[in-house]
Amino acid sequence: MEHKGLRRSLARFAGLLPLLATAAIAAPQQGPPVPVDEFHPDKDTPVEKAYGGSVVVHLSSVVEGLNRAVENSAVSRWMLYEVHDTLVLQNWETWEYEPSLAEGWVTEDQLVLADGAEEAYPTAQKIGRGEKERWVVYGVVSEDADHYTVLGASKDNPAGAESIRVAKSDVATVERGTVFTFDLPTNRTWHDGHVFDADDVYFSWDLYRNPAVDCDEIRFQFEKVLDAEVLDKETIRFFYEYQYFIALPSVGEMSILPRHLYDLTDPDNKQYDAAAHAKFGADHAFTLEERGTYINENPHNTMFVGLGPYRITSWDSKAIVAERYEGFHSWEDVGCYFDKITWRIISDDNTAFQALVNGQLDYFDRVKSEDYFGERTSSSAFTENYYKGYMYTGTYGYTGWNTLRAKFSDPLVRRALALAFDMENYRITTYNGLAIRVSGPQNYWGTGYNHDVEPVPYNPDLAEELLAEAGWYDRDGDGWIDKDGVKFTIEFSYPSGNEASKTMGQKMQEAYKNLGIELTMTPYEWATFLERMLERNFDAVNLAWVPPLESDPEQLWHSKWGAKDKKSSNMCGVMDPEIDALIEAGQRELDLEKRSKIWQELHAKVAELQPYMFAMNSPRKFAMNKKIRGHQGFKIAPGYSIRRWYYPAGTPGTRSTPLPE
Amino acid sequence: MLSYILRRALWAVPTLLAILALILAFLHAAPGDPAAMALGLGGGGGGGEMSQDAQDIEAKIEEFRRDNALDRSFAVQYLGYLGPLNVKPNGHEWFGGTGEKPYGGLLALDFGNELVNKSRSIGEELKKRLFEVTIPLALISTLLTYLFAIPIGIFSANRRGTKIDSGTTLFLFVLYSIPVFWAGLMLQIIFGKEGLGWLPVIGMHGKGAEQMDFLPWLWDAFLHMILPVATLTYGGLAYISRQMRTGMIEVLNMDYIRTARAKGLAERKVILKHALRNSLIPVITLFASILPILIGGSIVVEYVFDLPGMGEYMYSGLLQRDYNIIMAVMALVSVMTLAGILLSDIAYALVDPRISYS
Repeated sequence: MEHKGLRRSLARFAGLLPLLATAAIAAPQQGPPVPVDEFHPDKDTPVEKAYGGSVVVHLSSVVEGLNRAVENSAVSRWMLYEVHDTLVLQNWETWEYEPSLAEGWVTEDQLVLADGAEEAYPTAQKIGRGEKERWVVYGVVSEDADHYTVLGASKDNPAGAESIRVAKSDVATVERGTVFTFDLPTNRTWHDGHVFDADDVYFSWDLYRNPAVDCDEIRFQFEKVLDAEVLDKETIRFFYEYQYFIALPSVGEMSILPRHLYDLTDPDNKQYDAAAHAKFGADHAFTLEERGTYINENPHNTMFVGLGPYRITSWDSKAIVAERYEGFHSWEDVGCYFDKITWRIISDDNTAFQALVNGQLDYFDRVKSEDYFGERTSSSAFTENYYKGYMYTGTYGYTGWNTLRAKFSDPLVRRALALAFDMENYRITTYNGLAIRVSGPQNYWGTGYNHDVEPVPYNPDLAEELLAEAGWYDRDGDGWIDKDGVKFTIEFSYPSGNEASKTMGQKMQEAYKNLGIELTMTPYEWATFLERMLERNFDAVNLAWVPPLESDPEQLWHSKWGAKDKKSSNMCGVMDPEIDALIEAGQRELDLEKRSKIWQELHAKVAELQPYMFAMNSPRKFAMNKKIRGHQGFKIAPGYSIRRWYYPAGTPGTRSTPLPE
Repeated sequence: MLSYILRRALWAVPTLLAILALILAFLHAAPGDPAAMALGLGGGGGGGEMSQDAQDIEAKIEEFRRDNALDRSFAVQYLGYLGPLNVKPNGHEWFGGTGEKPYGGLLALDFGNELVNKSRSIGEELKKRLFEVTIPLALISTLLTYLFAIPIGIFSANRRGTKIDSGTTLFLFVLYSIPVFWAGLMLQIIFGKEGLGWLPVIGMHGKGAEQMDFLPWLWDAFLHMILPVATLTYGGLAYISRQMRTGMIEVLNMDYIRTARAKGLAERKVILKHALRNSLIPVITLFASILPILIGGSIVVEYVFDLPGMGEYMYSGLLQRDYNIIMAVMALVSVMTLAGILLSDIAYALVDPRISYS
């Protein structure tokens, strides 16, 4: 792994080497090796990679644009992997964060000085604005009994390479790993040929402070970045507000916009959008509103100009096309074998499957279980040109109980409901055993998953005992259990059209009937379903989460989002002080190993409370054109990387070099 | 006649206002929150898979509602859709706006932008979808419907009571009963690669169409249109041909036809010269009203065949609870329906000299 810029910084401050906090070198290799062409029928026949040709990949939802400030869908992120670049990127195989657009970075700590203490420290720097304004000294911080010692590790750090001692009484808080200084490349150009520099990065962060920009969905992420400063064209520094375990990816994976196309105040913008400037007049002072609207409604939101190996060449509501950007700085080690990638948007999965077998798609990753194991993927119409396979991302299914309703408020009842359902049998019959049972809320493949916690076993006798212990038994002999004169009924809500949820509901109906619980099933159209869930107007919901390898569990499990009048992802109403404490501890823990232990504890605690009946990590089943090779199934969504795919040498229209000679 | 048309056109205004008020009321009464959908709180899911981005959902929903005037009263929102004053925070000062964009709404000929994709103009999108997909599809389908329905209706009426008439009636009733969605899927399976492999089954064009010359491109488009047009046409064909049969039977029983036959005119002449014009009256009145129905019917066809038309736009707007899209499409369909009814009446007068609106 190359960390050119980082190495440069390390060389500059060689004496500080043991003290530097750098996320990439601190994180151990985590991901297992990812096999290539695992399911391809000719996987044992080696082929030579060739450049050229094109690929058509299916997308199930409409993408509104690639400007991530105003379009925050997962799909836009997947497309940006091919057409853009971020300062840092998580390696899909090792799961480490590595420099990508940036050549390297240095991470430092922040000492937030107590009121008035700044006068004693000439190198103190004022950052932030308004209420969040603060004086800080930053660098690599060590401590003894009464003092902190600060060593400047990054370029132009006012603390310098000489150590500064700061009395502990002068420090309000210590925020570790919250200052990031990125070394930027000098040889990168945007797809329109304009040179990339640190001003682009600064602008891309600064726009989040403009209330007129429609970035409400992700503004909160960047509000935690208190300040940024451009040191020169190739260096930029960010100050994060507080110690937070995913501070680096929050900043490093920020989508960068070309300032010359998005900033009305950039002198270069005049030559790219003369019409806009003619409209306002030569000396017009642009308001925040005007600048915000310009970003929101910019035509480059769709016809995106990025920094990646492919550039967008056409965009409509059905297909988005990206072609090889011939001015890309280097084709070494980037893959990118195709000349053209088309993302074809087809919202209905049946229609998409038809498109596949009729030759209009090369890749489709939403094959239904009944098709995967059935006739449609074994007929010659399919097997002549396609093959099928599966891969696991972190998705897990569950049935969530509304713990704010009296009948689900007792953990004994929730455990009994889990014990009464034969999940293992369901896994085998519905998923042919391919799915993996999960016992808690963490990504099964991440380090926070607690493999010591076993999924709840099938034990209907114990379920009956627990229900009786909780006061639920058949008092009036009508065959249904009751308590305080109320029969135990469950309304099982699920998104209409979701066959997996429907099948599970039917199986649960049978299982619970044996216990004397009446389960009724109600499918809801998605918008209705979502509204009822946010209003906590449900008994039980069947859903799936798509967690990244590591995520902040606050929205799902912290009690501050669990109250009845809160609209949140903690729709089951979990409010537990022990869980809150674990979340808060995990958020501030920067050491991956220690943090993983905290998440594992959280996993165990949630499993104990059973607000969800945890189901399975089910595989994503795909179908792919047999002519294309190089498929790998990754644990990071979307689970595949187009730039690694290729046609074998000898395929018509291919060549041996990235660019045509 | 002219005063009649003017009177009818004026009546259409309050009718349109009432229709739009009803639609907005239905939207408000229907479950589902446009803010929650537009903010992608379902992770763009719909299949039940949701992303886990940490965020303060409640604050965002409130902000979204404020920005799009969804927190205003029903009356104010209704006025906002009608126009010409913009009632959003950047709208007219009368509604507490900043005055930056004071005008908007239907009366200002401004459908606004989508709630989800705020940079996309609904007017532009509708224009593109209507003229590139929906209207061509509807026109071809209407033409084919009449081209086949009229002769089938005449044929059937002329052989009334025979086995061939019963067989045709049965076949057409079966055709009329087949759900469009199912028919579309069946045609895809039968004629696509999973079946006979004769026709393309998805989209307007095949792979690489953008690099084709004009004639191959046109042929590609023609092949892609066959199944959607067939799906859109069969129901109307069955219905119109039955109407034609009924109208023709009614006319054939009239005295003047008996007289014509008594004069010894050839049966072909009796039907085509004397009976046809009068029997066409009910069918022609249906012509103008069939267009909005076809556009409505195209929702399913465009969805199944993945065509980027107005029907598909409407459907995605409904799923997303994008009030702006729904109101714009419904306003357009309402106008077309009202205009269609007016045209029917005018056509009625033109083909039947006994009818006069003066």
